[in-house]
Amino acid sequence: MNILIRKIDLEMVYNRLSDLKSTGKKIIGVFPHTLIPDELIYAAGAIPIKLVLGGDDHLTAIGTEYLTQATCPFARGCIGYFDQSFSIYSLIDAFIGGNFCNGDLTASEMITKFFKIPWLRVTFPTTIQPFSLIFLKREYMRLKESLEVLLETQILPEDLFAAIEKYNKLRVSLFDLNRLMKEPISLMGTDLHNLMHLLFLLGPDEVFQIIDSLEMKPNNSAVGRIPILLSGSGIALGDELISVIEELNARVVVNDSWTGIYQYNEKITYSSAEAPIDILANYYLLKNESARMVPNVRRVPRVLKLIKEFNIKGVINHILKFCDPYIAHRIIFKTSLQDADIPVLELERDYATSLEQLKTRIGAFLEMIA
Amino acid sequence: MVDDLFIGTFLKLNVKFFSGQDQLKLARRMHKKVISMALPPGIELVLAADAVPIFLCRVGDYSSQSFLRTARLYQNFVGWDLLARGVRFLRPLLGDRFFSDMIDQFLTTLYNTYEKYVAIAESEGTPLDACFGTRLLLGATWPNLKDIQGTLGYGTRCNWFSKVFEEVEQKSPLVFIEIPNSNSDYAEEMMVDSLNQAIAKLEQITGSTITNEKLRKKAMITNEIRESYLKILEIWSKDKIRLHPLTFTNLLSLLHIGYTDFLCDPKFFSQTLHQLATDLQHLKNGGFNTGLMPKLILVNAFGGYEPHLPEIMDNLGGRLLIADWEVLRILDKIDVNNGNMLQNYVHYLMGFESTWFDNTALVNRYIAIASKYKVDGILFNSLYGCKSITPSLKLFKTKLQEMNFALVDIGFQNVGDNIEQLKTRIGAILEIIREQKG
Repeated sequence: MNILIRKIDLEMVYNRLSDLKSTGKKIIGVFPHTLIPDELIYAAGAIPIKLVLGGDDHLTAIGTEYLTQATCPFARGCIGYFDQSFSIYSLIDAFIGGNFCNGDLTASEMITKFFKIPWLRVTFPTTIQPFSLIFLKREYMRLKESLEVLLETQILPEDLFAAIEKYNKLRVSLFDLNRLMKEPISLMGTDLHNLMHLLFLLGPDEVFQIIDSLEMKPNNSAVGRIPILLSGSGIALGDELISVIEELNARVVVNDSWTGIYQYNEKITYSSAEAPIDILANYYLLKNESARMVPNVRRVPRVLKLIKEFNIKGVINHILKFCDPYIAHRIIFKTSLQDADIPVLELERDYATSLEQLKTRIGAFLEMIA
Repeated sequence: MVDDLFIGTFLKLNVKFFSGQDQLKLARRMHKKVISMALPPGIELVLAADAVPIFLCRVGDYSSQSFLRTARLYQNFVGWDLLARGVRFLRPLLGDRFFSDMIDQFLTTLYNTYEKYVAIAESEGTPLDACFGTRLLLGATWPNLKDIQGTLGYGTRCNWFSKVFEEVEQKSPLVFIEIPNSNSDYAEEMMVDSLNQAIAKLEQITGSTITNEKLRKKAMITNEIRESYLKILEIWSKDKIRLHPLTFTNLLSLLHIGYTDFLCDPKFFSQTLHQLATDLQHLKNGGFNTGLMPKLILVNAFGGYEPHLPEIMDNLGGRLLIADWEVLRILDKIDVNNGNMLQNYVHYLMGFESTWFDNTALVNRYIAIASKYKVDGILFNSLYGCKSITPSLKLFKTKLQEMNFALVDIGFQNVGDNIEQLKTRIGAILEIIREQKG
C-alpha cells in the first residue's frame, strides 16, 4: 500500500508548535469531538490542537489509575499522555472540554486537577431544541469571553467571519479530496486519516499546503478493493485500525466519525447579517453529527446517503469499548442498515485488542461481502 | 431483629414495597395513567398530572409470599394498625423463626427479581458493560411496557443515562427533562423551557392539566415526606436507636428505593414516614446501643449496589448509611411560598444537578453529609460500568488524605458477586476504624 501522506512525525509537530509558541502564540488544547468550534480559537489568534493522541495500551493503563477501567480507552489514554508529560501536550496553555460524554467530563476534571492546566469548561445541551440552541449560543459567548481574558485579546466579528471562511474553504477542499476516492486513485483512507490528524495538531494553514501539493494519479492497486464506510467512535492518532483495514482488500473511502467526514461534510452557511457566535452555534448544534445527542436522528440518514454517494459495499461500525453514545446506538444502527441490505461488521474493541485478531475479523467480513 | 417488623409503620412500608403489581392493576382499574420513574426528580409533575409514578425495579411477582398475601387481605378488612397488632398477637404461636425466615424470603425474592430483570436486559441487547442500575431499569421496563403509558427521562451530566432513555423511547412515550450541567443564570432559563416541554408532553399523555396550584399542593405533600426522611436519617446517626442496626439499614434501603415513586401513594408515604419518624424516636427497652459500632456511608447507592451489603456490614459489626437523596439535594424542600411554582421547581432541579456538577462537587457533598452524620468512613461502591461517578475514586482518596476519614472501595457488577472479597475488605476497614476509636 502506497501512502501519499506519511504518518505524522510528532517531533516535527512539537518543533513547529514550539516555534509558534516562541513567537508569542498560545496553544489551546481541545478535548476532541464535535461541539467545540475551532473557528473561535483560531479567530483569537491561538492555535487549537485537539487532544487526539491515543491507541497506546500502556498509556491507557496509566489513565486507569485516574479514571476507571470502564472509562473509554481514548479518555484514559489522554490522561496517560499528560501523566507522562508528553512533549506536545506540555506546550498547552489551557484546554477546552465539557460534558460531551462521561470520558470528556471526567478526563477534563483530572487534567486540570492533577496536571494544573487551566480548563475552559463548556456545557453542551443533550437535546437539539430551540432552548438548547439559545443555551449553546450563550455558552459559546462565555467561551469567547474566557478566551479573550486568557489571551489578552479581543475577538472581533471580522476575525470570526474570517475564521469561518477559512474553515469553510478547508471543508470544501477536504470533501473534494474525499470525493476523488470514488474512483480508484492513489489516495487511501490512511492518507486522509493522517491529513485529518495534521489538521487537528497544526491547524488549517499547514493542511492547505499539503492538499495543494498532492498529486492524484489513477492507481491500479486500488482497483477491486472493497469500498468501506467506517462509522462510530473516532480513530485516534496512533490507532492503526484504518491501516489494518487497508492492508486487507479494502479501502476506507469514508471515515464517518469525528476524526473524519464529520469535520467537513457540510460547510457553514450564513448571512453576514447574523452574529458570528449565532452562526457557529447553529452549525455545531443543528448540524451535529454526533451520536451523543438525544435523540440521535441524523446518523443513520447521513450514513445511508454516504453509502449511496460513495458506492459503499460494507460498513464497519467501530465501537471503542465503553464509548457510550455508540454503544447505546449499536442496535438501532445495525438494524437500520441491515434493513437497507447493507452488510455491517460491528467491531467493539479497545487498544489492547491485537491487530491480528482485528485482521481476522475484518478479513472474514470482507470475504463475505466480496 | 424480629421485633422491628411489628412496628406497624415499618410493616406497612414493607407490604407496600412488594405491592407493585397490585398498584399497577389498581391504576388500570381506575383508568389512571402510569409513568415509569428512574429517579425521584420530576415526580411532582407526574403527580400534578394525576398520573401514577412507578419505579418498575420493585415491581415483581411476589405471589409466593403467603404472608404478604394474607397481610394485604387482612389490611383491607381490618386496617394497618389492627393488622400490626394481630401479627404481634400471633408471634408466640408462630415463633420467631417464622418471622426471620419471612424477612429472608422477602429479600431473597427481591434479589431474584433484580436478577431476572438484569437477565432480561442482557437478552434484549443491553451491554454487560452498562452499570447495574441502567441494566436493571431497562430489564424492568421491557416486560412492564403494557402497564405504563410513559417514562420520565433525564438529560443530565451522565451521557449514558441520557442515551438509555433514547432506547426506551423506541417502545414507550418519553417525557424528557433536560437539566443542564451548568450553574449559569441562562441554564435556569433553559430549564424553564425544558420543563414546559415536559409538562406539555405529560399533559398530552394523561389528558390532565398541570396547574400552578396542583404543583404547589403536590410539592407541599412531598416536602413533608422530605422532612420525615431527613428526621429518620438524623435518628440513624444517634448512638442509641430503637431498631436493630441491620433493620435500620434495611429501612434506609427501602426508603431509598421507595422514594423514587413514593411507593405510588404520596399521602400514604408521607403519613407513614411521619409516624415512623415518631416511632423511631421512642426507644424500647433502652434501644440498641451503637456508639461503638463503626459507621460507613455508601457512595453511591443509586447506580445499584450489592444488596447483601447491609447484612455483611451488620455481621462484621458495622453500620451503613444510605443517604444518596440527601447528598444529591433531592431532599431539599421545594419553595411553595413564592408564586411561580415552575420557577421554584427549576431551582429545585438545578440544586440536584449542582451536586454532581462535576466529581469534585460530588466528593465535597458526600464528605459534608458524612461529617453531618458523624460517620467514620466511606464505603466506595466501585460500580462497574459507571463512567460518571466511579471515576471520582481518585478524587476521594486525594481529598481524604487531608481528613480523618477511612475509605474502602469495593467492586460491584452483579448481585452476589465476590461476597467473600467484600467481607474481607469491609472487615479490614472496620478493624482499622475500631483501632482508631480505641
